[in-house]
Amino acid sequence: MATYIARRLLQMIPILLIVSILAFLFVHLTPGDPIRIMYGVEIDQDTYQQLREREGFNDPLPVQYARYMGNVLRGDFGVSYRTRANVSQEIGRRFINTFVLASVSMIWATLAGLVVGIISAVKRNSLLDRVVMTLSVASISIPSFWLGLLLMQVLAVRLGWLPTSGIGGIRHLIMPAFVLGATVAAIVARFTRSSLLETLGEDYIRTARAKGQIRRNVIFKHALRNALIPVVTMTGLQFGFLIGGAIAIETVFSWPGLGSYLIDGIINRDYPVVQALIMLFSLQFLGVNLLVDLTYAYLNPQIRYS
Amino acid sequence: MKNKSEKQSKSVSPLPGERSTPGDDYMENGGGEIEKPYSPFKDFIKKFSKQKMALIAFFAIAIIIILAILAPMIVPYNPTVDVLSQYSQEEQDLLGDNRRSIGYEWVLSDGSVVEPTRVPMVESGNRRVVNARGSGSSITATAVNEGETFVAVSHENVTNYLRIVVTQSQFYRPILTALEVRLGRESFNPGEEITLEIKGRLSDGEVLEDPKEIARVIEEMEELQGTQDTTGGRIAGQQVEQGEDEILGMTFRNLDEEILTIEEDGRIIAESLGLGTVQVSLGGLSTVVQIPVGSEALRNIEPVVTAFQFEETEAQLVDLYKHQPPSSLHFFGTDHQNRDIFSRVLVGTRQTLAIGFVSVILGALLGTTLGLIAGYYGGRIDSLLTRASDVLLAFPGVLLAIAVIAILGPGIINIIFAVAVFTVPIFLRIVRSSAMSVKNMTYVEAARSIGVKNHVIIFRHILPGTMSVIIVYLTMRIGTAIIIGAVLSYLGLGGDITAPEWGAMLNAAKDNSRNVFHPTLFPGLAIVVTVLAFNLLGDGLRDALDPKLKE
Repeated sequence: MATYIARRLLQMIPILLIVSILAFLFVHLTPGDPIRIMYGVEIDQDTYQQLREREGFNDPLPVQYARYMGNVLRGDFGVSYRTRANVSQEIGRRFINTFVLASVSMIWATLAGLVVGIISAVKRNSLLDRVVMTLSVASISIPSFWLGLLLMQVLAVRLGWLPTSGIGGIRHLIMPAFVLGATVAAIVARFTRSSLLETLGEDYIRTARAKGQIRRNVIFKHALRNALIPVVTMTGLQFGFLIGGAIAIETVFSWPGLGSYLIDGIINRDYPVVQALIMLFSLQFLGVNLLVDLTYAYLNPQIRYS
Repeated sequence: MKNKSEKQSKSVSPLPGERSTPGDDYMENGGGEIEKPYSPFKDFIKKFSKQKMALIAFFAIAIIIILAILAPMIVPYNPTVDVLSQYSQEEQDLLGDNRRSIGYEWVLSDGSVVEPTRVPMVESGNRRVVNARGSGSSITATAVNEGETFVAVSHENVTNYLRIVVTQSQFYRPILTALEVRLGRESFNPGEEITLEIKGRLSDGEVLEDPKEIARVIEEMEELQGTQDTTGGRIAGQQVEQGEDEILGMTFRNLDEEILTIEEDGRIIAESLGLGTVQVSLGGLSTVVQIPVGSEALRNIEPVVTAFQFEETEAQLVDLYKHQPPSSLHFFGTDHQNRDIFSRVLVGTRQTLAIGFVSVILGALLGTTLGLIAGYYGGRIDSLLTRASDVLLAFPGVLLAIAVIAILGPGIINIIFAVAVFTVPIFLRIVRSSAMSVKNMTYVEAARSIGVKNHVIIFRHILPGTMSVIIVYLTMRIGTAIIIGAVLSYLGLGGDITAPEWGAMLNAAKDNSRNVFHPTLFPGLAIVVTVLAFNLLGDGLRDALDPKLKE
């Protein structure tokens, strides 16, 4: 197991290196001069050159990259072009919000998806099963941000049951967490159902039934354990995608998290913010994927020895 | 089965006159026995036509595409301009009124109705809903926003209400428009307590006599008042003490101190001979009643205004300047800039389909080419391409697309590129694995053995074998691409936020139409219908072309 983890960690390094170079080059690839964005368009040529020198844009690119990465490794992502605020501090402040939203969404989506998926599989072709399957097909066709807008109109604006947007107590969390988790819940339900159905068709299930085990025991002790292995992987992968989906949902509900920060950064061409967040999101996804793979390797020994 | 029977029916009923020729005989025998060569296309059509949902989706997509092509010709209104300037005369008549003038006259205390001689004070109960002003002969109410309120019309001590509703299909709720006060007796003597009968006249014409009923209506009316209270400030005088039969909040104001006095408990007592006047107010409404004390006073009563008589006491207005609700003119209503949402959704189909088709085809072309190369050649180039696509696949599509937009800058073309970028690795991966399995087929080996060049093998022999997978994924990815395109333009990364594009429309609706439902509903429904159609078609194609792809 240890060698497997080590191998996986080593594989991550070149990817992180590429991401960091891309994030660094970002400033130079995009149209628009960072000096002009920072200090305005009206500065004269002399001042412009001085500022360029001072901000270090005249150094060779490798030097700039080394300096940038040195700062990043020390946890310094620079200051925002627009607000002059420290990007690292701002990210630290907003990370908690995104983390809370994503975790709550993920927890309810996984629980609901598992329960519904198991019931659907056990009561195959029942009314509930068909409703669940139809909903899960529909859910991948419904943009979650639109679902969020509709809920906001009905529950917050019309009925006044929930606050429209922003951050506060648990009531603020209900709508964004529901919308963000809905698609994941549908996918988990569908996947759990098909995985459990497949397992229920295996020979050892028939054997267990044949030797007189009651149905409930067969499902929970024999089938579910095996059926859940691929579900774990799939659910883990969904977490990464949920964080991607959070970008739109945070913007819909004015949730002060990393996603809305990224979008604001892009629209305002606030490069340090975008650079930092692209690296952070990449690290996050790679981390989640690693965890998923490790869980899978732990559950399925075939993987770690291949 | 079907093919066979068709063939037989063909062979037994040849063209007339050729029946007896020997050639035909031969054909008949031969035709019945020789099996038609297996046609994958016919097989596919047969399998596909069995899937009802996929067929419906197919026709839905065909209709959507036709609508997109014809959109500029069939839109009922210019999608980028306020509809108000685009109405024909007939349409104008259908619309309903944005403003209404209601004529009025004065009702005097002796019951006569006269032409008004002075302009009344007119105030809207909620200026966010309606604006109102008065002239010598009419009251004009102009719709400002959707809602329900009243307009207060006052002259000296008399205030009456008009009920105004702006584009709302809410349940009917009449309001109190006027108070009517009658004396218990014709005249009173000094020292006597004066008894009054009070009635409330509702906007639908009904007259309420039960004080409890009147109180209930007054309570309901308080909701109609906006933030600024325009009438409460004018109520002066003594509060009537709450009794069994009394109406909550009624006030009396003595206008002739010498003749009448109003006690603490609300009783009115006649003091000395003459003509007294009392203003009765309730919930912002008020009227005056003349109280003659002594028979002498009865003779020289000079009538005063006690109420207004309006042509109508209710007016249904339409806000024509923005957020018109769905109607026969505007199927989806109008938005915050009064542009026809139906037209905008229709025109938006073009951009949405363009994003979906172009980006996925672009991504598929690149991904397929790379996948074929990786799958066919294998080795180092394969592991490099696979590794690269694994990295891209590790990121969720939205984030990858946003990163591309961050580099290229906002804009529709850039959205297409952004969506294409994350489509590439998906196609690379599936085409690669498909190409790897086809590569080892005997016919490919045969082709290689006779010295066919690599690129010919790839495009002649391997590509057709992977085609079914490509078509299935192409269809399924278009739905995803449309959603991601909509998300990006919703987030304001589509460049022009005023463009008739579904995602941008939802963005505008969120910022400008908080209290209105239809600007959010319809563009989103359009996305759902289109994406659902592509997803269902993709499912159907997958089942018909390659059942193995399922899970």
